[in-house]
Amino acid sequence: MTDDLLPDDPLLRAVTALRQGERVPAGLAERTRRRARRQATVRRAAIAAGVTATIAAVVVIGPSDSTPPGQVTFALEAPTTSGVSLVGDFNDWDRDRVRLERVGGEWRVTLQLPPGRYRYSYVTDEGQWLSDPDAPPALDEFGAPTSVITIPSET
Amino acid sequence: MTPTDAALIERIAVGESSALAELMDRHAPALMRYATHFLQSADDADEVLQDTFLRAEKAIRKGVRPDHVSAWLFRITVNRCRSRRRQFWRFMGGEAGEAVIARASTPPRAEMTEWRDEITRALAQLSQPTREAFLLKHVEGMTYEEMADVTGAGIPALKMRVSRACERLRELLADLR
Repeated sequence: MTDDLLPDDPLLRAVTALRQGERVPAGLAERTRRRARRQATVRRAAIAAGVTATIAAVVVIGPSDSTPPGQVTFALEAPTTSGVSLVGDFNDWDRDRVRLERVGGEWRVTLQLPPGRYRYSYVTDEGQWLSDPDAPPALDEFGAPTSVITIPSET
Repeated sequence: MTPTDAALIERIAVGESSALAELMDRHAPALMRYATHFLQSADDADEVLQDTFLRAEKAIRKGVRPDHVSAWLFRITVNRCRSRRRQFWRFMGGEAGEAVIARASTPPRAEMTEWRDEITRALAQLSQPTREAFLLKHVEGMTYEEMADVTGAGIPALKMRVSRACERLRELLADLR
């Protein structure tokens, strides 16, 4: 029976290595606080500016009252990745066209987008596709999870 | 004197943010270990933990008072990990896609020993339910009763998953001995 690993079980070495386990990246509490604040900020800003964002916090910040129409800052927390690209309907899903810059513990980029509805995702340099885990899944035609933002016309 | 989990919960309920940080210090290491091994990505695990504690805080402020805080936090984490993995499955096209993601997400060799690298790859070969059961049983040291509480699965099914996981891992790691 394999329920308990005996001292001579070779699997015990693997389990011992796994138990030594993963370090919690510093600043988890502060990142969680920032995420909560962003969620609140984005929801308020979206309502105030008439932006329909089916994304929530991690993804898009703003716009505020002073932000030009259509200007959107995309932000992602990915502390251990070496680089992040933004791909979406606005850049033909080309990962070489919009790179995010590291700002503190975040990756950010600000774009000016014309009115319209856009699907987008982040791609890390390690090849992971990331969407906002809090957002309702908005799948593209290939079934990929994406986030969606709608920039209203200025009328 | 170290406050109990119950005392921290009451402080969180009245909006004391330092109490949430204390709760994280106490429980995040085990949750992080589980989420990282399950998702095969430290960044994904970090996001899952943020999500877990935000959801926990929200529930506490709504009046939830869990009897066993560790098991409760594990239950939220396990569910968030499952949800996150489902998104990737849909994108990559099933379990074969998951293996691709696992390979892409494996940290560079320089960051870990070759042995741990191989264990990570072997874990990625397990199905989601068997990996989940193996990690909870043998890495987190839970009883089957605790695992049933955390996962919602029956004890016989969990025993079978653990058994299969062990057999498969022994096969995969045999050449390395």
